[in-house]
Formats: sequence, structure tokens, C-alpha cells
Amino acid sequence: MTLFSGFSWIRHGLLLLGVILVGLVVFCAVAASIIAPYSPFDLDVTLMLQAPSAEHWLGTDELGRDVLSRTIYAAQISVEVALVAVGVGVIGGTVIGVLAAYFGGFVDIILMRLMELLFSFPAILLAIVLMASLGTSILNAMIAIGIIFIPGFARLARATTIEAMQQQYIEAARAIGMSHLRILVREILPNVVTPLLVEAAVAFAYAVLLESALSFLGLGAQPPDPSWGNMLNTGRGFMAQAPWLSIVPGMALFLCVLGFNLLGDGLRDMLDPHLRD
Amino acid sequence: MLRLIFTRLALFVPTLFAASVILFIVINVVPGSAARSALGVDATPQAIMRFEALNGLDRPLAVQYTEWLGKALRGDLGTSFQNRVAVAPDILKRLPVTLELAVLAFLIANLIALPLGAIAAFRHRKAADVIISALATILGAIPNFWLATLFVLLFSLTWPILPAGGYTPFFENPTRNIVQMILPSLSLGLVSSSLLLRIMRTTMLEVLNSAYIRTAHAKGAPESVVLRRHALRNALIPFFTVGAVEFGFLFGGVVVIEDIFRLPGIGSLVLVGIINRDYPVLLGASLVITVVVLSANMIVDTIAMMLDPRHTRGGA
Amino acid sequence: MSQPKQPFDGLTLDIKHLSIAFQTRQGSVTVVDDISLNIGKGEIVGVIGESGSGKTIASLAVLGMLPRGARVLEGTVHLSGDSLLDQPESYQRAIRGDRVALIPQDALRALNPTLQVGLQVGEPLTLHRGISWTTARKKAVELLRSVELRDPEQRADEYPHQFSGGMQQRAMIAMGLSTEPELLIADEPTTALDVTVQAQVLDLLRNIRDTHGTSILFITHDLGVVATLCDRVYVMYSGAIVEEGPVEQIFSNPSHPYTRGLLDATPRVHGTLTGLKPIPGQIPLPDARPVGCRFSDRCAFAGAECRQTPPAVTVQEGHVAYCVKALELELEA
Repeated sequence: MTLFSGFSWIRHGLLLLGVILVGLVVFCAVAASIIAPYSPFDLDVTLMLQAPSAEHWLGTDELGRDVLSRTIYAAQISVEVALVAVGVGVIGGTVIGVLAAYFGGFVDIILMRLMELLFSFPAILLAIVLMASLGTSILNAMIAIGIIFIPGFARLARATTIEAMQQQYIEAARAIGMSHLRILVREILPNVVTPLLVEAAVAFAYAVLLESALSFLGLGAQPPDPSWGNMLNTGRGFMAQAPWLSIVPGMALFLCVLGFNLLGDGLRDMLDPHLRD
Repeated sequence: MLRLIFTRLALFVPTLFAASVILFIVINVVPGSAARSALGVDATPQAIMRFEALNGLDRPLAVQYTEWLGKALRGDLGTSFQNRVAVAPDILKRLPVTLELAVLAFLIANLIALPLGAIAAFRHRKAADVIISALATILGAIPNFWLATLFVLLFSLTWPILPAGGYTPFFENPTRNIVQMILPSLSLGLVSSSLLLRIMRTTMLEVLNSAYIRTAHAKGAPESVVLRRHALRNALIPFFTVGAVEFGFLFGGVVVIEDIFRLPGIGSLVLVGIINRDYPVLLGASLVITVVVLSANMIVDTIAMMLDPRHTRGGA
Repeated sequence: MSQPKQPFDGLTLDIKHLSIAFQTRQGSVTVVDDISLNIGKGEIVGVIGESGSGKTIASLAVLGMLPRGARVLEGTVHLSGDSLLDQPESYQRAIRGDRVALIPQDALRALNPTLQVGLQVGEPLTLHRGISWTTARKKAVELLRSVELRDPEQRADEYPHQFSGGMQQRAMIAMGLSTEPELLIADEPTTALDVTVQAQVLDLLRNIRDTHGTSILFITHDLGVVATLCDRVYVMYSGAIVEEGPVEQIFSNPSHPYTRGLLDATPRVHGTLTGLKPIPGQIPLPDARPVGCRFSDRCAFAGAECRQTPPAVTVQEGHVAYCVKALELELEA
């Protein structure tokens, strides 16, 4: 049962809104160099902390850089992080989940207990600890966030695989002597893909959130690269003089997360008939 | 009932042990990095060797872990690389700050989620349901650190009625303590209420569609009695079971919120530990947070089970 | 409060020309179409039909508990002369669980899993008689004893999951009896039970009628149960009543082809299994009913005259079949 159950027109509208928001973020990320009015790196100390104006619609930051341009460019990092992290999570989780379900018994118990354990750590703490050994950089943030997603995807992949394996055709495939690998790839994986897609959309939102939190703490994207998180971090120092530095990147972040959440909810409604009202 | 609690505790110990192994391995897996962080990048190999020998970092990981665990069990979490201060007493001093923040935030989250989730379910397909669902959708997409930033902008700068940070122990000055905790716990609690609200709404909807609710109506019970006597408890059982997981999620936010509001809790200690590469501090702080989260999970889960006679009372 | 009264003619339940529709996006769908049904004091009346025939919806209308989207289009329902429809919710609530009680199909699901059985059985008394929980629990123990539950004192403090299926259904019946209602609506109360327990529960219901004079509306799809328990029976098909009459009449001289089909599809205790014939086809959806007689598309005897609304044909005193061919067809084998 999702939110707004029983209001199909609201749900359709929200899915559309989600698609538009996600589309906007992806468009900003892809076309940043074309649509951004200025370079995100051009410093101009004479333009420090200027309020929004006709030249700089969303003002400038403490080094005189255009906030709108940096906000647009920051979409690149968010999308990149989300793609890599969700990729790591989906691949790692699917491999572990499918193996656990397929072999069962001892393999299943060990793998899933480990996943459960990882799941019980607060996500951001796990990310921080992982980055302690990996080192603080945006690439390591992507990997750390990806590792956090592995348990969730593993659990999902395992459940779907078990369900798929109870189908008759797996028995049939085994009976005609198909190899383990062939059965896994040809017969089971396709059934796992649909629910994974839904989960991935939600994970995208969470990845963007986590990346911005890490960057906000100074552990993710490093200056001068623009990320919504580290822009907000900078803004903290100039709240009284330049509140737009604390508002604009946060709003972009909020809309991006909202978009992915709505997309995930909408996909779940569309793809999973159980949840329909 | 007692057996139930003992079973939970028996599960708790190995989980905690495994969690400590994972934390220890992850933090110490890269050799030499601790020394290099502590001494700087231009440290000579001799200096690094001396540092590692001094801190016992040149031995196999298993040996280091056993020693660390032995000490940890006696309440000794080592000393900071940075300032040679004992970690455990520092954590103990910071624990109340973090616990207060987390408990307040959890209370706020539940105070919002329980009634609103129940109302949304009860008024399913009505205007109230739409408004509450919209609120949950928005809250679920706001990053807690941005909400905290906006709160500070609004209530500390534009309209200065609440402090933007700082901490006074409760027993030193209760009013001041509460006033300082309002914005931090509200930022954390509001954002965390979104998922709890969704869970409450879903479980309540399922309960309201169940046959025993129809029985209650068929008995001629008024709506208030149906909700209070028949629906609430049955909705709370799955709510707490699922909600227990949410506590870990909420606790993760502690690191960021403590940083923003300059609260001297364990979350800010984690941050200090990672920024200085002060591994004993990072490990100790992470471990204590994990203990708190696992304990909270266990407590909430046990409450859910105690509410359910199917767990506490045997079969026919 | 003034309620429309009709002259009390000794009928506990009197349903006249009741029609109920569901509001859907495609429009209104009539699920109960102009049914009239009555139950005298102390009478056990069966309503038999396949799922989707509208029998449960009709009973929910009596309780004032129609599901969301369902609406009474027309008709009247009187309980011992008091009108039940078009009454404020508070009035209907005062009737529910006091003068009319429901015994549902799946007792385990119908019992609150987190409340002691004794409290659930006594709850109607606290709601309608204003007695305390302590007194209600004591009454509940007596009620549980009266439905032949062993160790009622101890059982009252147990939870539903500690009861067997038969015990759960007994507890539901005890709950229904607590306020000594005029009417019990039993909605397939025995389907979830195994055969021996089923027989015990039916015995219990008959005893209740004999000792308290309670009228019982018994909804089922099981002809065997109707034969052992009921005095009269209404046969419903696709939202309408197709035949009604005393049980012996219906069984010995079924005059509607659908009733006949039902009897042929049911194994009889004294019959042979060789003659079992299922009715071909299936019950039409409410929006896809044939014109005229709604059974005509499955009926072996259907002809051009079945395109008209079927007339009520009195076969014998109290035995009516809604079939244009009821008399001319020699239905009795």
C-alpha cells in the first residue's frame, strides 16, 4: 500500500512530476556546460557574496562564483555518485542474493546473516567508517555508499530468486540438464530485474542524500568541485550575509530526492499489481 | 515472557561481537595509514615504524583485535593518537548528549507519525489522507541537515528566538538544555517521521480492513471504541517491528546534526576521528553508536512482541 | 426518536423490494435486485447461492454495514416492525450487536488477536447494557458454558489463537448470543470447519432457536446444511431470488431450473454419486446479465419467453418460483 492509494489521478500526476524532476536533474548533469551561464570555477573576488541579481540570478558565493552555475554543475556529481553507488549495490547485492538463494543451506545462512549485520549499522556511520580505510574522496564516497546498498539489494534478489526457483520451468531446466550458471543467467535473472528496478529508483534518492551529507561533512566531493552538499557546507559560514548559499543548493537537493522518490513510488505502483488498490 | 527477553539477549551478544569484528577490520585494514595520518605525509619510514611499534600496529590484525577486545570488555577503548586522551571516559561524557538528542528526535518522530498515520488510514481516500500523504512525501525528501540549516536561518537569524547551537547539561540548567535541543531534535525528528508515518498508515489500513474490525462494528461499537480497543494495538505490533529498524536510520543523522548545532556528542566524535584519522577514537565512537542502535532495535522489537499475545502466550 | 413503524405482523425480519448498487467509475452496478424476504419469530431461514449472488451484501444491509461505495437504491427493511434503513448511524449502531448479531464465516479472523476471548464475548453487553467489564467477563464465562465450551472459566482468559477452529466459532456464537438478540445472521459459519465440528455447531444453533426463540438468517452455499437446519429457504442467483419455500418443498419439488441444477450438483447422503451434474457456465457479472431471466444463458430449458422478466409462479402454498416455465416443466425427476 503506497501513499495516495485510491487516488489514481494523483498518483499518475506524481509519477509525471517525478519523471519531470529526474529529467531536469539528468538534463542539468548532461548539458551543464551548455546551460550554465558561467563557469563553476571562475573566481572573481570583486563579486564576492553578491545577492541574486540580473547578472547572477541566484547570487555569488564567497569566492565570487556564480551560484546558479555551480548548482547546475553539482547535478553532475549527484547523478554520477548515484549511478556508481547504485551500480555497486545492484551488482554486489544481486550476486550475493542470487547465490544465497540458489545454493541455500550454509551459504545462504552465512551470507544473509552478514547482510543483516551490515543492515543494522546506521548507513552514514558505515559510510564514514568505510571512508576511513578508503580515504576521503568522491570516488570513495561512491564506493562506500554502494557497499551500504548491497544488503538491501541482496535481500530483494534472494527473495525474488527463491520465488522464481519455485516455478515449474526451473525444474524443467534442471531436468533437461542445464548448467547452474546457465539456469541462473537465462531463467532466474530476468525475474529478478523488475523489482530491482523499483528498488534502484529509491536507492538513487538515498544515494544523492548520502553523498550530499558526506560532502556536507567535508568527506565527499572536495572543493573546488561543486556538490550540493559541500556548497551547503560553505554556506554555513555565511548564513547571515548570504542566506541564498544555504537555500539554493538545498532546494536543488530536495527536488532531486523528491523526484527519485516519486519515480520509485510510481514505478512500484505500475510494476507491482499486488500493491494496487 | 522472561524467556522471550533472554532469547533476544542471546541473539544480541553474537551480533554485537560480529559488528565489532567488522568495524575493527574495516578501520584497520589498510596497513600504515594510521601512522601516516597521525604523523603527516612526510614522515620517515623509521618514524612510522616507531609509531606502529608504540601503538602495537605492527602485529597481525587478529592479535590486535583480541587485545583490543580484551581491553574493550574491561571498559578500555584505548587512547587517542592525536592527544593521548583515553577514549572511553570521553565517550562516556558525550553519551548523554547523543542519547538525549536521539530519544527526543525519536519521540517527536513517533508523536507525528502515530496520530497522522492513523488519521490518514482512518480517513482513507478523504482530503485528510491526501494532505497527510503529501506531508509525508515532502518530509521524506528533505535532507535533515538542510532542514536544520533552514531552521537556524529562520529561528536563530531572521527571527532570533532559539539558539543556533551549543549544549548545556540538563542537570545544570534544564530550561536552557531543552531550549538548545529544540532545533536539533526537531530537524532530526521531523525528517525521520516520514517513513514511520508511511508504516503506520499502511499497517493501520490493513488492520481497518480486517475481519475483526468488522466484528467490532457488528457489535455496535462506536468508531472511537473500534479504534482504541480493537485497531490501535493490532496496528502498533507491526509498526514497532518495522519501526525498530528506523531507529538506526535516525541515529545516522546524529553525526550531521551534532556537527551543525555544535553538540559535544558521540556523533561529532566520529567526525573528529575520521578527519584526524584518529582510529581508536573512530572505532570507539562507532562501536558505542552500534551498541546503542542494536539495543534500541532490541528494545523496540521486544515491546512489539510483548504487545502480541501470539508471542507471549502458547498455543491451545 | 420517532421511527417509521409498520404494523407488527409477527415477522422478526421483513425485507421488501430491496435493491443495492455499487457505485463504480463505469457507473452503477446493481448487486441486489428487488429482493423480498422475511423471517418469522423463532424461524431458521436459509439463503442459498453461489458467491457473487448478493446474499452477503443483503445481510450487511440489514446490519447497516454496507461496504464503501454500496448504496441502497430502494426497498425497506424492518426488524420486528422497526424500520432499519434511512436511520442515523447512532440508531443503527444501537441495533447492531444488540437486537441483531452477526456470526461470520472465519471465526479466527473475526476475533481480535490481541484481546482475551472472554472480554470479546462480553463486549456487546458493555456496549449496549452499560455493565462493567468485571460483570461482562462473568457473563462471558456463562455464555461460553452455554455454547458447550469446556473449561469456560479458564478459556475466557485465553486468546483466540489458543482456541481450535470449532471453539473459535463457539466463542463467536456466544458473543452473538450475549444480548439475546431477536435475529442472528450467520454468514457461512461452518464452511471453515471440518464435518464433525460443523454438525456440532449446527446442533448448537438449533438449540439456541429452540430455547430462546431466536430467529436465524443462515447464509450458505451448502444445500446439505440447509436441509438439516432450515425451516424455509430462499435461493438467490445473480442478485435476485429465483425460488423460495419450505425446505421439504424445495428439495422434493424444485421448480426453478437453477435450484434443480444446484440439487443435481450436490452429493446427497442417501443418493448415489453417479448423478452429479455441475451446472454449465458460470454466474454472470452484474453488468453482463442476460435480458429477462438472468439464468437463461445457462438454462437447458430456456426459450424465447425467457427474455421477459420472469413471473412469480406459486407452485404450492408458500412455495414460489420465479420462472415462466415453473409449472409446465416437469422438473421433478
